[in-house]
Amino acid sequence: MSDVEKLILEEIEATKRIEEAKKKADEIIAKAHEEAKRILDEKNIEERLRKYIEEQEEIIKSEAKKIKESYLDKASKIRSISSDKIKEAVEAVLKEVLRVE
Amino acid sequence: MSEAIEALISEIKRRTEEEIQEIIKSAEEKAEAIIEEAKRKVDKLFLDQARSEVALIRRRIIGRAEVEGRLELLRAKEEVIEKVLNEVLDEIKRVANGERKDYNYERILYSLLKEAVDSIKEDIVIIHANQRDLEFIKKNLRVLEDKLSKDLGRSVSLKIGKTLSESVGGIIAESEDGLKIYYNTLEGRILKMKRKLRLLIREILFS
Repeated sequence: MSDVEKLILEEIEATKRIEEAKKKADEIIAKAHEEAKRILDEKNIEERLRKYIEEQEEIIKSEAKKIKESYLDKASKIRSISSDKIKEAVEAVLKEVLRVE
Repeated sequence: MSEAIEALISEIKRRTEEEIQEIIKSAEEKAEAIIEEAKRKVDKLFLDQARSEVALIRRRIIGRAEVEGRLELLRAKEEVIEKVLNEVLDEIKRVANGERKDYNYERILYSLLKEAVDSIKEDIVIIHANQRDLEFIKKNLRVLEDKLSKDLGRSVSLKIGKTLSESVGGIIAESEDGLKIYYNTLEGRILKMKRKLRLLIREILFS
């Protein structure tokens, strides 16, 4: 085989390999488009949203429970006000009711 | 093969390799950009929707907890206020029965009478009260009329009216024609002063 023929064969091989690389590149991009389509799929978004909202709802419920418990605690403290304090209020009201100008 | 040809073939191979790598790298970068763009779009969509839905849920759940909690707090305060007012009524009964030595009920009754007669602004006033207070007034009618006339600076004549069997103490004064009535029973005073008394109780117990 002459040198020129060898050169031509090498060029042909190079062109073939580059064409294959271009095909592979097209496949990579096509796959990326498919993946993007999957990511943008409404069902997937809804499912992700549903899960996220469920998680957040649980967090909010536990926050609400703490808020309510804090009020219940305050209410319980009010209900167990000391008898001395009640007596103080009774005497003050009695004085007010019986105070006639 | 000459050295020159060998060098050329080697150069062709090197350039080919470079070009292939460049094509693949560029495709991979483009693919990554496509996927990133999709993710960015989804994140924005997701965040916008999630934020508004979570805000609604928060408002509903936390709002309900706040309302229920505040109601429970109000209920507790109401219970204590009612307890105090009931105990006040019991103490008033003790005062009226003379069981509390720190209060002079006859003096209180006179003050209630004077306040009512003064408001009626008539010479003749009919007095309604419970049996015990009515008997006291009947028994001390002349003395009371004189004292009232002196204290109010005008002639006052008292007439004994109906017996208020349910009353704890105090009186109801009425003009002879029935057009003017002044309620000054002790339980009536509590009712009349309830708003003020509640504020007083709140101030002592909850502030």
